[in-house]
Amino acid sequence: MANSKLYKGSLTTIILKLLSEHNKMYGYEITQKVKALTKGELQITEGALYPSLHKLESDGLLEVEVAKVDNRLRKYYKLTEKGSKETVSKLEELEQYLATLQALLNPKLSF
Amino acid sequence: MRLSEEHIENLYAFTRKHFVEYYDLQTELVDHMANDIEVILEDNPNLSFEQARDKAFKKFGVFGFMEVVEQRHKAMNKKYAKLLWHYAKDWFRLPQIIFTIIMFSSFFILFSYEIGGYVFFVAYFIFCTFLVFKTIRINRKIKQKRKAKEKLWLLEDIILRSASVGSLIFMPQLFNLLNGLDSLGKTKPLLYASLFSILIIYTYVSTVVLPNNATKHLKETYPEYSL
Repeated sequence: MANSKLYKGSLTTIILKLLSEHNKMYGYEITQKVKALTKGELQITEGALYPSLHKLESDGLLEVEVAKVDNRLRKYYKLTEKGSKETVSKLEELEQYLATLQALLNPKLSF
Repeated sequence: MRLSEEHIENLYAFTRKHFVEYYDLQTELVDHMANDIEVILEDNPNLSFEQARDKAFKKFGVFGFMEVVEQRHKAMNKKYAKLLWHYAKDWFRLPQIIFTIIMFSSFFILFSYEIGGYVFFVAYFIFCTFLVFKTIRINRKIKQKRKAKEKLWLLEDIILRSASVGSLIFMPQLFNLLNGLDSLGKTKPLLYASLFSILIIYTYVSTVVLPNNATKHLKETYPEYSL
């Protein structure tokens, strides 16, 4: 599952969901959080994470702040008001999709 | 193991070597790589910094930072288009709309004369001269920044480059216009006045308004700009 491409369509929803539960997060933290939550089953690649974060930022769903941590600058992402609303609708969408998949994979047969 | 200042400088140079020109993206990638390198070195204390760095870089895939850079360009171009639209639509609101109407009406009246074609040619020539003048100034500014090795910001680069690209697009049309001098007929003055007014608004916003407000937008876009 670690290299699965299945999560790609849900990457933005995963990011939004994580940010809705944490005030602010930085890129590396997001990859590690997903890895920890899924016990290593799902690993977000760097090449996919940053383009998604930048797209969400340019769409006005995320805002950024920068802080000096140790001897380097760290860029944090947090949800905007528009981003919080979008998270709710994206999660509903995903849940609906999962229910549809469930119905397809495990159809309840009625006689 | 915490990375030293020297290591961080090495990582900035590493991103530059891998075609990440802009400081905002360099900063984000340097922090990401640094976090990963620290974990790698903790798990494998025998590795050198360079070995750990290369291991961290491999996780970006065969194309390295290319995908991230490309997508960042797309995101910033979108941001630029939004800014352009934000300022352009002001010209269709009060009080600027009064100026827009006066400008359009003046062009329409002037282009409707018997010598409308000549008037349009002269107006277009003045417009192109302004563009060339602006392009020279903006290109000089870009060169100075690069020469001084100042931090480069993608949005600033897009603003400045978009402002200087106009003369390349619009200048060659000047020669085509030479064929259509004299009268513009009955329908052309309306079309030419509309297009020319839009062109002037677009050019004014992209070459004057946006470059003049660049610092404000850079501060909004890049919190690290003021640090």
